[in-house]
Amino acid sequence: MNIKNQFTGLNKVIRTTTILISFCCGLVFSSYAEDQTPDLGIDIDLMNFMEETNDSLTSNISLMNRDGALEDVVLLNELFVMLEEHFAEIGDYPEGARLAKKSTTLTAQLNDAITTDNYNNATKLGIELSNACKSCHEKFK
Amino acid sequence: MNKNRRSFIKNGSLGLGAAATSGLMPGVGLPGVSTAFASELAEPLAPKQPHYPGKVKSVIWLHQNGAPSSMDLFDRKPMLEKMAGKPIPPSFLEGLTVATKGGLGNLWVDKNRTWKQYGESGAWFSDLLPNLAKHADDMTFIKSSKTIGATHNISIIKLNTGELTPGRPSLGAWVSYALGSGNPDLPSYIVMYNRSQPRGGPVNWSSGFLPAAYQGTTFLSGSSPILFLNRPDLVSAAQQKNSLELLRNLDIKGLAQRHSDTELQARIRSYELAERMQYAAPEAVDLGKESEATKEMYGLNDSTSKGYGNLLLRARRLVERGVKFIHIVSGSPEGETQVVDWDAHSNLPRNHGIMAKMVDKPIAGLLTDLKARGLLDTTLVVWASEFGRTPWGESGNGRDHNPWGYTQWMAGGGLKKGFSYGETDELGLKVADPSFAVDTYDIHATVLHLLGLDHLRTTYVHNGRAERPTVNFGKIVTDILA
Repeated sequence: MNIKNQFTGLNKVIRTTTILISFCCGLVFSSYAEDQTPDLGIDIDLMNFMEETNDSLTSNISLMNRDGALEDVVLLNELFVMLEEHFAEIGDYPEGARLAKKSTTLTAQLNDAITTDNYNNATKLGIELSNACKSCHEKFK
Repeated sequence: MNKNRRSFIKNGSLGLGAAATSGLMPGVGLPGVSTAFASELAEPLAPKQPHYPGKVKSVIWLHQNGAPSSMDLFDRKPMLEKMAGKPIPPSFLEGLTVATKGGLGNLWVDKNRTWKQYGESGAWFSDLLPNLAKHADDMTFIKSSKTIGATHNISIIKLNTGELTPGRPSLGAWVSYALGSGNPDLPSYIVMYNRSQPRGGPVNWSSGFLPAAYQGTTFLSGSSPILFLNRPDLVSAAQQKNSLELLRNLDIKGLAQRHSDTELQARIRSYELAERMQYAAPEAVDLGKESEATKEMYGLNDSTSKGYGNLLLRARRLVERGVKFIHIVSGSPEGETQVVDWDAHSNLPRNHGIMAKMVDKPIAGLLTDLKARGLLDTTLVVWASEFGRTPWGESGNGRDHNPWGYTQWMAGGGLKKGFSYGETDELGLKVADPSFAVDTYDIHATVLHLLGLDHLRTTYVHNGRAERPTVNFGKIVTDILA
């Protein structure tokens, strides 16, 4: 079972708790890490999971799979909101906070586009979201 | 198992059985099998319509293996000349993690390098490319290229497939899949190199998860370009025909049991194609009828440029014969033992002196020849590289890898000619304005667009997921389009 299935197979409460624990684990590990810049306290498995979800979203948009795309985008929106809050909490990373906020906005716009079956717009927004992810990873890898 | 599923499997199995027993080969009827399915199975390389009329019919993808230094060929940097010998100012390194093996040295330039502007466009060329420089007004520069990774293996794979790890189809395979073949007697996607393959080898022209029929076919040097293509002397034409028929019948039986085995389908196709290619391929690469003037134009009269020139002259002949995607990897000149590619970590003057001489006249000749034959308007020539090189020196007079900012260029149909897009910073290290950055996905999206393909609509469902050539990225560089 891949990590996406591990997460999405759980109900919402357990899933959210698991994701929060991932953040916390990242924070605990980061407090022990020595002089690694920048250490954002974000669990790598969580990032991989978000990337997987984004891959799935892109595919579902291409296939015009409304239900699958909506499930992916709602999940991503939740995660980006948490990421945004996390950046606000740790401070000092305005570029990370900006990209997380941009991603939250994009996922909200994606939700609208998919809900209205505007797959052309959803495809373009999906590329923007992927680019935002890439920019963040280039900055903080 | 519910009724629908049961009947689906039953009908599907019977359909395939009928197809197999009726002979799933061209010219044989296929009752019970949908046209699209039969067409895909029997003739995967049949010509297909693009999404919209393309500007070009063929692509010549010139991979400059080893990564040439843009700032020694096209991207003149006066500030680098002034600051040579000094450390790079920290402001230029902001946001970069320099993890390349050579570390951070002082800025360096070759003191013997000279520069000149050419054509009405006034494009700068160094003294290393005197022949190509004459085509300044035919070329479209992308001086804000960037990529990911700082090692050849992964960046070459990304250049060709869009991903850092092997497994995805190369750009040529996507073109082959989306457009089919322009000549039933030749592969639609041909790969050539002089002397050496790039790092990673055939994964760079793989069909990845696409059916194997779409992978690149390697053409070797010599009169018989495809390994083991020729019929052995002791086998008559009739014997070969009988053997192939027997093999075909056995393969069809195998196909009935393993209908999703695209390797087997590709093998059936390849035997048939091979039979036709026994005649077509040697003729396509036979330069015997080319004039001495043409050969000279491609640099065939010079030992340094002869091997590469030979490939480019073949490329023109393949374009004339309708081959869609010709992927040429720059190797090294015949007899050269020290310089094997553009990877100049040390002694860049010698390395680039040899490599530039190897490619300069042949590429200039190719552009001249295509133009003279009226083919440049329907062909796209792409100078592509896995990354560029750093403005700081390595080992005294070499340069390290630079994925943050470098130059690639295109020439051909549908482009603004004599045009330059984007720029690097004053030292040639990073793309100056990130909003102008052109990643490999963007190059792929643009090439596909010029062929009439929308990269967002060029999809293939693999493991339940819709995949496309530009992964999750890609934007067409519209500013360079005519």
